[in-house]
Amino acid sequence: MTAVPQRCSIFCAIVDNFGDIGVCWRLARQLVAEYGVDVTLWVDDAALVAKFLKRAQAELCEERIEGVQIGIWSSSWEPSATESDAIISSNLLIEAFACALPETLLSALGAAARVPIWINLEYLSAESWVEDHHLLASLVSLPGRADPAQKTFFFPGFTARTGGLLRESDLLVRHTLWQREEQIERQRLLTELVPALNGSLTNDLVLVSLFTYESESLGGCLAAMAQDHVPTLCLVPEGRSLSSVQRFLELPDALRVGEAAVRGALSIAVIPFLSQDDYDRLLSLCDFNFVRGEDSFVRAQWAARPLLWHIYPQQEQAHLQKLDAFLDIQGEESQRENAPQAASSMALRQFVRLWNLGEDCQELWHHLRPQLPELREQAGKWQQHLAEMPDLAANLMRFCHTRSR
Amino acid sequence: MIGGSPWKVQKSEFTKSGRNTAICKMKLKNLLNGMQTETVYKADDKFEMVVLEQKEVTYSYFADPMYVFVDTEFEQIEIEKDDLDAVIDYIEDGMEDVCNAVFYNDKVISIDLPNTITREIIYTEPSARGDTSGKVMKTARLKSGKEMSVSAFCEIGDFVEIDSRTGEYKSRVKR
Repeated sequence: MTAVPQRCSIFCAIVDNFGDIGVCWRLARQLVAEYGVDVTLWVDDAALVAKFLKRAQAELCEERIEGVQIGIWSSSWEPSATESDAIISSNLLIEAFACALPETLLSALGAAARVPIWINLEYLSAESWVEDHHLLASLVSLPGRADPAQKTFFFPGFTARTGGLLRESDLLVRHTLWQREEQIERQRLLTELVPALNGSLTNDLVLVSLFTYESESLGGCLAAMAQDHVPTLCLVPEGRSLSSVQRFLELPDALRVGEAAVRGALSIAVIPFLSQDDYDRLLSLCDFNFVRGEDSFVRAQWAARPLLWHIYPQQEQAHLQKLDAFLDIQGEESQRENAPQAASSMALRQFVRLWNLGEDCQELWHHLRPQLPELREQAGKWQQHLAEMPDLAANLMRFCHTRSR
Repeated sequence: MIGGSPWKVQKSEFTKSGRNTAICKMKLKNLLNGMQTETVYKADDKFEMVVLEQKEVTYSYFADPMYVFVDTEFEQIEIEKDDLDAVIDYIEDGMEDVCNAVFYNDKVISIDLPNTITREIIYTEPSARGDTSGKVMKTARLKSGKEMSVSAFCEIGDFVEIDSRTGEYKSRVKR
């Protein structure tokens, strides 16, 4: 039996959207549920977290949510003695995405008899340098402490020499159950999310989820779906994709949650922002998922359905290197499975790349759509390949066990 | 300065990718106890800089276990083999390189050689005829016993330029 930390404090500074909190929340929940760790998740934007968890802001810290205690912090925050003691007595302290801990807390750590195992959990990347940097540590000077403390960099990734990907122990079983009776589950899902469309589900319907940043490529892609001879239903959660959808629809008033619009063979429906578990179900039941950032990107891979990754855009196209690294690592695996690499996976690669360059993707979607069954098969193999590796929480617990010996 | 000890950055490698933090992977050496470690830092992490005193010195002689250098005022400076690190491979009797002795709290903690040094080959296998491009390499031994790769056309008695930071052969020099 692996000894695991009893208490863990996770610090999350929310930059924008729900990506950062999404990853931290999943990790916190998994540590509680699967390892029995007492987790406090410290967040710096109570309003956003309340919206994310669908709770009233005032209730956020009152009682544990799914076993996780929420705490509120900021860069100028001065923890009370009780808060400080609770954090210092943690066996595991996680700084998510290199958020800098407040000076007051660093001083308290410096004065403590023992510094917890201190992790900087980084963003996900498939680039090869990640393997060389995973589990390297910073030596940190803490006020009043003669010996430097160690802060270990923990990199999620796609290979066994990285920290792996978040994956709850029952996730793949859940996907199998959803996908076993796909048509029935789809009907149920659509009835819940878009009651206005009830009864419109046909066997040849292409079901698409659209959760991207604003995109120049989206209009052409939706136009291709509208021109298709098979019907497509595009489910769009409220948020940033919607502005690009509105531009395509050219409606006088913006679509609201539960409403739908039809253009040719394409129906577009706006769905509410979903809980993480409901979003997993949506990904599982769609034929194609447009995802973005990190959390939805990882979840879509576990859903074993073809996906387009809209990577977080950076200045001077710095994100393209990261995108290519993922496409390469996935391409290598696909090639290993069925050499030479299938034309369908090459087409998908081209689609993903052009989308991220903001190019017109209309023709590409026409080309890609008939290949969705083959791409589904490949997505399944990719999921199985990833599932052969330990998940992120398991790797984290193993590291803590090694360090505490 | 980290945790009360001065550390020397021996190697650094910067990485910035997508949304990830810009990071710097560094090989560090503790100047007090010689411990080496590979670390990674956020590129905006801040350190207290260590002010080190430096003096120009030249190598004089070896008095087991100390290597003795002299400064420009003929003061003797003694340093142990362990503190000479990789430089030890290039310390030879009669060497004329002007080196830098680095002090922390009045104690010499390291000796830096000039970036480019010249050393004599005392043994190497005869070169095969024909290749003068310099791309084909072979092993050669220096006076200190250090073995390194040099161009295949180098011969016993030749002098070669070496990058003292990497230990790499640069070129053959005429003397």
